[in-house]
Amino acid sequence: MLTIEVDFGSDRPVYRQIAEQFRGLVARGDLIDGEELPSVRQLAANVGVNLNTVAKAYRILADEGLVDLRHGSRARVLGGARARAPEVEELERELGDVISRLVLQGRGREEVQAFFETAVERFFER
Amino acid sequence: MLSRIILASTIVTVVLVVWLVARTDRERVFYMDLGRKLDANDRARVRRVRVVTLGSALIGVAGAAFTPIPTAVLVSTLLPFVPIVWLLIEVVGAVKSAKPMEASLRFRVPLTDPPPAKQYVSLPLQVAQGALVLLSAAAFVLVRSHLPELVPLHFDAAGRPNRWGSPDELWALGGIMLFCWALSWLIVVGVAKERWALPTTQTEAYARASRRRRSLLVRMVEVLMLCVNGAVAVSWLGIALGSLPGMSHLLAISVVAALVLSAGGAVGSLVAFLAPLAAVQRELTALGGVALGTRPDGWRWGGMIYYAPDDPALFIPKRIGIGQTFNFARPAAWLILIVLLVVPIGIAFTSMLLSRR
Repeated sequence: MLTIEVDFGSDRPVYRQIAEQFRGLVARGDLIDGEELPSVRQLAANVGVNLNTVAKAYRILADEGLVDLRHGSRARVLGGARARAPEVEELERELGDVISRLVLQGRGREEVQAFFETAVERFFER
Repeated sequence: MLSRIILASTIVTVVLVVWLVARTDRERVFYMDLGRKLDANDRARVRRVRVVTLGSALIGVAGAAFTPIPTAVLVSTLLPFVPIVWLLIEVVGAVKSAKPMEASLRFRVPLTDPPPAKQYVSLPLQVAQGALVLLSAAAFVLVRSHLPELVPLHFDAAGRPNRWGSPDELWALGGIMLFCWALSWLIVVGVAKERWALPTTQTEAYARASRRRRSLLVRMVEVLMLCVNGAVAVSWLGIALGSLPGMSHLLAISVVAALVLSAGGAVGSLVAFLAPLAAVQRELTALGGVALGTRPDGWRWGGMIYYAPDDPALFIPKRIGIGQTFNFARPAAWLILIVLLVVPIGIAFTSMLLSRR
C-alpha cells in the first residue's frame, strides 16, 4: 500500500510535505510513468486540508515536470526521465544549509557524512 | 395490558443496563476505555447507575402489580427509559473526565481511494431490508380494499383506540420504514467517508483493524434497523389486519411482537457487537490511536464535541467510546442533525395533533 506521510506538527507547510513525499515516490520508482495520482478532493479529505493545499503541491510537481495536470482529469505521473533538470547550484545551496545546521548542532565532518549515508540508505530502503 | 408492557420494557432496559455495567473493570467504565485507571468518581458513577436501575426495576414490578392511576401512567410509561437516560448521563460525565491518547499529528495517507461504502454493507441484510419494506407495502395494498372506512390509528395508555381514521394514514408507517433504512445508509456512508489516516508504524495492521471497526459498526446498525423495521412492519400489518372483522386479537399480538422485535434488536445488536467493537477500539489505540488525523484542538467539551473549521472532514470517529461524531464546524453536520431530529419529532407531533382532532 503506497502512502504519503504528513506531519501537522512540522514547521514545513503541508503542501511542501505533500510535494516532497510524491517526489520521493517517483524517485524511488514507486510511482511510474502514466500512473494516476489521487484526486485533489480525495487527498485533501484524507489529509484533512483545504483543496488548494493539495492543488498547490500538485502544481509544484507539475512545474518540476514530474506530473501532468489536465483540467477535468486526475494528475498523471510523467516519470523521472521527463522531470526538469534540477538547478545544481540551488540543490547545493539547500544541502549547504542542512550541513550548516548539523555543524551548528556540534557534529564534525565524519558525523555529517555518516548522517548523509544513513539518510541515503533509508531513502532507498523505503 | 399497559402495566405488562411497562414491566416488559423495564425488564429489557434493566437487563441491558446491568449488562453494560458488568462491562466495567479496572480500566473500563461501562463499555468505554477512559485511558486511565478507574477512580472513586467512576466507582460512584457505577453505583448510582446500579441504584437507579434497581429502583426502576422495583417500580416496574409494582406498576405491573397495581394498575396505575391515570396521572401516574405517563410516569410509568417513561420508566423503561430512566436507567438508559441515567446511564447516558453518567457516560457523559465519564467521557469528560477521560484522558484519551492524543492522536499523533504525524500520520500516513494511502494513495488509493479508501474502501467504498459497499465494502462494509451486508448484501443479505440489505436485501432483507428491501424485501421487508416492499413486502409490507405489497401486503398492505392487498388488504387495503378489504379494510373498513375507519381503522384505529392511535391508542391511549390502556391500549384502547382513541383516534380512528382512513386506512391510508397507515402509509406513514411505510414512510417510517424508509426513513430507518435511509438512516442506516447515512451511517454506512458516514463510516466510509471517515478519514483513511494510518499511523507511521504498523500501518497495515492498523488498516486491517480500521476496516474491521467500520464493518462491525455498519453491521450493528444494519441489524438494529432491520429489527426496528420488522417491528414497524408488524405494527403496520397488525393494525390493518386487526381492523378486519373477527381479527381484533391481532392488534394486541402485533403490539407485543413489535415490542419484542425492537427491544430484542436493540439489546441483541448491542450484546453481539459492543464487545468486539470495544476490542477493536483497544487494538487501534495500541497501534496508533483512534481518531487519527483529527486536530487535537478541535476536540471541545472534554472531547465530546469536535469543532475544527480547518478540517474538511464531516464524519469523525469518536475519541472515547464507540461510533462516530460530526465535525460541527461543517454546516452539513447541522443540516443532517436537524433532519434527524425534525423527522421523528414531526411524526410524533403530527400524530399528537391528529389524535386530538
